[in-house]
Amino acid sequence: MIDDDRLLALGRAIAAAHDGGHHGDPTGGRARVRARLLDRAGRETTRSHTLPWVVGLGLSVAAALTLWIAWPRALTFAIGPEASPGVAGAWLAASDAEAHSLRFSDGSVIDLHAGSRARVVQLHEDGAQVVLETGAAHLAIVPRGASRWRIDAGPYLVDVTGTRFDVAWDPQAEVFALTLHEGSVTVRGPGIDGERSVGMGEAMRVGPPIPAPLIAAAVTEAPEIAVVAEPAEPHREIRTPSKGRVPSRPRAPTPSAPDWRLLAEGASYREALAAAEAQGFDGLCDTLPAKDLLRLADVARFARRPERAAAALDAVRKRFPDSDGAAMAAFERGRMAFGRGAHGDAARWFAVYLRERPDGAIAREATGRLMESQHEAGRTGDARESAGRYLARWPDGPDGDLARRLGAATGPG
Amino acid sequence: MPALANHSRNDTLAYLPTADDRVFVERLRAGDRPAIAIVFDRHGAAIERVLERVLGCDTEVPDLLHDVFVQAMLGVSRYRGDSASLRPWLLQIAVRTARKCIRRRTTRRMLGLRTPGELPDAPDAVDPEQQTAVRRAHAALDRLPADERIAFCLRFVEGMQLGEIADACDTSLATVKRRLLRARVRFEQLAAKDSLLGRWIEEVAR
Repeated sequence: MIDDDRLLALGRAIAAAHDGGHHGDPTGGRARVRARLLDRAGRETTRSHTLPWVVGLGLSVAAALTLWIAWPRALTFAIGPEASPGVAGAWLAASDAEAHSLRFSDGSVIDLHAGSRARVVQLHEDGAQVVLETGAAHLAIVPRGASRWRIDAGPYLVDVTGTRFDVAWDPQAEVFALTLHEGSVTVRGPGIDGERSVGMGEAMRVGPPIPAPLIAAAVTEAPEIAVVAEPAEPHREIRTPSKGRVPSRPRAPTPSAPDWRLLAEGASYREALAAAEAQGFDGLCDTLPAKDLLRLADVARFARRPERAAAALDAVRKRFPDSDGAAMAAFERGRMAFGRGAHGDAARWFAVYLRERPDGAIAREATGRLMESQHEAGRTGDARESAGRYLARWPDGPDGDLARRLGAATGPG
Repeated sequence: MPALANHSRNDTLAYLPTADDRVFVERLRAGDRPAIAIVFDRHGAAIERVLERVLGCDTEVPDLLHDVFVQAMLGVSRYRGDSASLRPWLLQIAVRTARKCIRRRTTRRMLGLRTPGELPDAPDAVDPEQQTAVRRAHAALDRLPADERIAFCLRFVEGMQLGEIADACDTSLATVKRRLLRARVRFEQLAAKDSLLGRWIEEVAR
């Protein structure tokens, strides 16, 4: 391969030819561009000042009307017997004496038990996201084709289609409880490996054995209770595959602390990571399911905090050994190592992925990257072997040319 | 004030050597479009050079340079950087503009259409043999995928560091390395088939 020095010399020669191509008038062309630019700026300014507002306004109104008629509208909701209009984002607190009803425009109803606090965070055309900060609620969600309802009860996330259930969260006792009367839901959160489906007539409880008062009310009212997750001792209910220390717990998001997942969905990665750190990054690493930990690692990577990304990925590998998530974490570690130029480390991680998932969904990508990392690390023999394996399995793969080239560069094999 | 003859408002700002680009961002956002001329004075040469490094000494470069600053002027409300210099952002726009240009030409070439601007008049100052070699080098670069060509040119012709290229291309360092490796492999294959270019590479390296 042509070495860097020769390519840089070639580049300098090309650049010299470019610089010599200005005919001794290095700024003449730029001066004309500047004049055109000022002319354009002047017209833009004038246009922006003299734009026929009436036409613009008329077009805007017509477009808005069309959208209003045709666009699927987000749900709305009303509060209490007075049906006062609810506002997304505002906290709703039921008094100690009486419940609070939220009636949604699709017919779904959430009854907030006395003493509970909640917030409707987002309203979509096909559902809503509700945060139950403390207390209990009864939900009757009207089933529709593509419902998107999610209830965040402390660190637990309940994904709902059409269903009727009770949910409760006691932040002091750190107890989560859910009783399902109709339909099905899935729950994610601390102590739950991945996600857990809860079916009709089942109940789920995660927390100390003695129900806290807030939870007791919700659970004892439920007609059918089958305890799915009942820990033996306080604080042992957060079960993880890792052994040793009792994991630290994430703090429940406070009204002022936005959920890191929501921020990540909005691509606000630095803010998402800050929110995760405010919630307790180590606690999240100890308790989040593998899927969320991989997401958290992505968030940290995009926020340019590789040490946090590495911690989240290592947590996946430690807590979920032999899982798809652990293999994916190895691949991500490899990508990160490659990115910082640690090609030896990168090769090791890609090899780990391939050892754990030789026929995994990204085995081709991992083999290509392994080959490239080995080449960059100067391990030409290993790179040639990897190139051979790559070509044997994916002769027309995207790294095929590179594999052929690396194979040729390192001699016959 | 010859440099700002067409600029009517708050021209004194242009002469404050310590005023960083954020001042002009605010002015542009406030509707003072002619402030783009000051930004152009500060960064126009660098952006033009990058366009030339990627596309060659090309008659279309002035138009593309104009486009870059028009995009900056009109898109300043979307600018989210907090750097004292607009150059990294302008470089990103320049790279996007160059990429579009390369892809447009590739499409035209595939359709058998001529691509005006690709073959500029011969500059007098350049030795004819060197000029031929540079043309051959650009002909080889023309055959690289746009992203690989950009990475190659920014690294070896403009001499940028890998991190700078990653920022300019708005991508990761790892991606830049992959693009560069592939570009080098392809370029070498093409150079191996062109004896004049191959000989020139040997000569310039001495």
